[in-house]
Amino acid sequence: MKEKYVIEMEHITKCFPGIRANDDITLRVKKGEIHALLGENGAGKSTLMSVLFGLYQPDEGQIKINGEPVSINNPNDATALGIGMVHQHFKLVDVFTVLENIILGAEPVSRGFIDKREAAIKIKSLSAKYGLYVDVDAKIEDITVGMQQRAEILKMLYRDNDILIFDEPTSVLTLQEIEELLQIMRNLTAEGKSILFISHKLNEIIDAADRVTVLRKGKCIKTLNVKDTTKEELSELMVGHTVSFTVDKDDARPKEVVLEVLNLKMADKIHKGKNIVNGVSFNVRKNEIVCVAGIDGNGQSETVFGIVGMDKPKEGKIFFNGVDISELSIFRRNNLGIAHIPEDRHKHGLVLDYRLDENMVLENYWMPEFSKAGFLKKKEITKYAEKLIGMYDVRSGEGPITKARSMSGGNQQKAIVAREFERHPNLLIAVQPTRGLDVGAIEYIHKNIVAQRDLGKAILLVSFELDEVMNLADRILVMYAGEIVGELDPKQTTLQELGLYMAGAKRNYEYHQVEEAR
Amino acid sequence: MAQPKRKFAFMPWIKRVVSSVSAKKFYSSLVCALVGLIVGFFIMLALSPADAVFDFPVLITGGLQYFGFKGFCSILAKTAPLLCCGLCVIFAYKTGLFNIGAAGQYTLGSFGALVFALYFHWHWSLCILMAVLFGAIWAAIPGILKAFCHVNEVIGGIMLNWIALFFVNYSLQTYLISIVDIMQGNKTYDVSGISKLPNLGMDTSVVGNSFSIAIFIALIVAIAISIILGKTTLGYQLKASGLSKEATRYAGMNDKKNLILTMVIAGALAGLGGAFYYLAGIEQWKAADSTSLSSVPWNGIVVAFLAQINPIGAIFASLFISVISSGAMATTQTVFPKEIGDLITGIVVYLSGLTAIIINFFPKIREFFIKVFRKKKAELAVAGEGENPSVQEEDK
Repeated sequence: MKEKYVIEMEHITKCFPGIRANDDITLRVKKGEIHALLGENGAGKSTLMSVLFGLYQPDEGQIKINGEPVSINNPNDATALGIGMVHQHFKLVDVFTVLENIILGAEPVSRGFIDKREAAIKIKSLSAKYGLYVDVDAKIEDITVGMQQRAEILKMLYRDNDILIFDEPTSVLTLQEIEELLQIMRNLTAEGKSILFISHKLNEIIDAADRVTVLRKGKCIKTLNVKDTTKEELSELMVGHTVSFTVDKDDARPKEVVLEVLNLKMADKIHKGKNIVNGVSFNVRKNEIVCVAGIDGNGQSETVFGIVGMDKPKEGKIFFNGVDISELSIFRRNNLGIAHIPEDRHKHGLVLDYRLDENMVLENYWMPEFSKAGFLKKKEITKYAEKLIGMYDVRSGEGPITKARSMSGGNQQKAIVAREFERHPNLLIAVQPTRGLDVGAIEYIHKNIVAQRDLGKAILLVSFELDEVMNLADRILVMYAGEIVGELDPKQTTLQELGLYMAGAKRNYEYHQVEEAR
Repeated sequence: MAQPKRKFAFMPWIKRVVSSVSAKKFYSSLVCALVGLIVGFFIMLALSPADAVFDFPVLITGGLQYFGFKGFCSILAKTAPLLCCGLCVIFAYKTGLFNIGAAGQYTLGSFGALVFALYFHWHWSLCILMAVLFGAIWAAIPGILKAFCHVNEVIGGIMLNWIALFFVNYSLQTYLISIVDIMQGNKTYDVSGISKLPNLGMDTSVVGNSFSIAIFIALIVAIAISIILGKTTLGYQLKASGLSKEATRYAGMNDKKNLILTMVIAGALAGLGGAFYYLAGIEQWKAADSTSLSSVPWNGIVVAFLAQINPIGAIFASLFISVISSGAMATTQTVFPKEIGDLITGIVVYLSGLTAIIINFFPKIREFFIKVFRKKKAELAVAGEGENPSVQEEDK
């Protein structure tokens, strides 16, 4: 008997200048299933979804929805066919309420006015049905990322979409929120919706999906039943070789203190008068990876901003190799040998409308290697970029002359990592360095971080991923509500214990390193 | 199958130039200019059909029929200050600033040039230098306000425009009364002697009174600005802060310094424009009548947008505007007001705001023609078997 498919994308091929983004890909999603789409950065997942959504026209192949061949020329066509998408970066209006965002573009109107009551009733019944709790009257800017995502999901449900696409939905969520999301997804399929779930987090796929299609370098590798496969098999299919999930590293042999933070306080920009970082003191030594763990929003990002000079501390001192750098400019701090992989790669890490090679020298453009008498040595810059692209396997359509904006998120991240590592810093500050990367790239970056440590660098790593923290850290500092609440040895602690510290339920930290260092 | 591609295969270089991004921008500007002219023509038709047919060619040739070579030289003379003002707006815009204060900087530049030419009788090169300095200082004010007090450069700039104008008029009619002609509505005297821009020893009866080396200097400046933006570390920094202020801060570039520096350079360019206008003797400053700002710097904004923020494009854009406004003067004044030129430039600017649409529209038009072409070819192929040999021939 022929099975019923809601989406059939058959032999889709899509080429861009210099790259076959999709090469004869066939993807079939059954009704009522969670179908995962797995692949490395740049494997063609986003392109495939853009084709499905009508943003690109395929060069070859055809799309069938509910068995009917369709042509999707723009996102409106896709919406009319009942396809909805939750983007990785949410498409919400910050100053609108949840309700206004949900009805935006599909407002119920009575006598020329928006009928918010009717909308609210519909939204409430939907959220009760699927277990999606939202506060409809709250403004987007005031609610958590998790709730913003639920608003996005409700947006699709409000439009009666039956095919829901989730584009890397968990990358911005906390552990608990991820659990909730997966439950919501199960509820949705139980009600007959079909879900296409784009991810490269294998645990979640194993947890939630029914079937999985693996893409690699634009080709469709295999479609499998999740029941019959393992994490190891999936990662091998995705990357093309076996991957190890644990990081091999020797014990740290920390030497002298490189970074010393003393009683750092940072003002809260949203809640005036409060401190988002409230008296943080710690140090990072040579040949050591110190990992700051904690749930997003507990002052980690602001601490880093204070150290690198992006924001001015309210109080406190920062010493680098014994020198007080609290008053120095970002430029001076960079040149002392502080490299920074920023949390927000779009906002801080890249000039998106610059070419890749121009982005590769964002901090170093003025150095004699890249400039002479005020003129850029464009050839040298391109050559340098090509070298880094090769070393770090940064994939892009046109190599060094690709606009950073047109690259996939993972490859943008790799570009930043390449740039910062190759500046050969004394202190490397990495905030979520593997955010949005696939297993292969994560493994590579982790290996590199350990290698940098063994070369005698001090490394401060901020991560929200517990696995990353446990795997990489030589010493864990847990931040909660703007303070360091715990210092843990990853060898002697468990995920559960770490979780307790992160939730603020436990505390063991007193700063006592100052005397030791002097 | 892929026949349209092969057509260009033997001249890849030309294809690359013709289909480059700059070329596409050039086409769309051309379309803007053409549509502006066509609309202008219709308006002229509506005013007086008979005169329109006669006067439209006059308009688009800048009235060269009447003014001859002298007219051509006069157009070039007026292009120079306009080009400088265009470059001023472009330079600021590349760094993410909208320098609407160009008018004030231009006014101060003019003032600087006039004072040092008429009062101190300095050499023209030094007068230009002072004009540049005055413009730069005036532009630094909104730059500093923006960098340190977060005052929007548009607000800061507009306010300073009027302050500049009335400061200049006041100064000329009180402290500097000796350089204005009280009998002629407090008009400044003619710039002459070593203060006047040289015209390379050409006969003024041939090239006109206002022609000078200004246009050549302006061209060099345009190329220099293009090089600064494209090839230097300074341009790299400034453009980066225009595109992403946060990323440049992250990279350790001094965003406040860059911002002020941009304004200073932009103001210097506007000041240079003012010097070119008055030191060439195109007009005299009328201290008593000038209650509105000069139109040259405002047209600089027009030039900038018509040129799509490209310094080299600004050369063509400023020439176009000069030609049209000069042509408008030559049309039958009793029928057509000289504002017809301003009207056309206005329309052109409005359209150049829509260039993105026009650029995106091009491929659609091309696709359409290719489709029609293919269809015809397919029909022909179906209709006659005799078509095949010729197709094979092409394949070779």
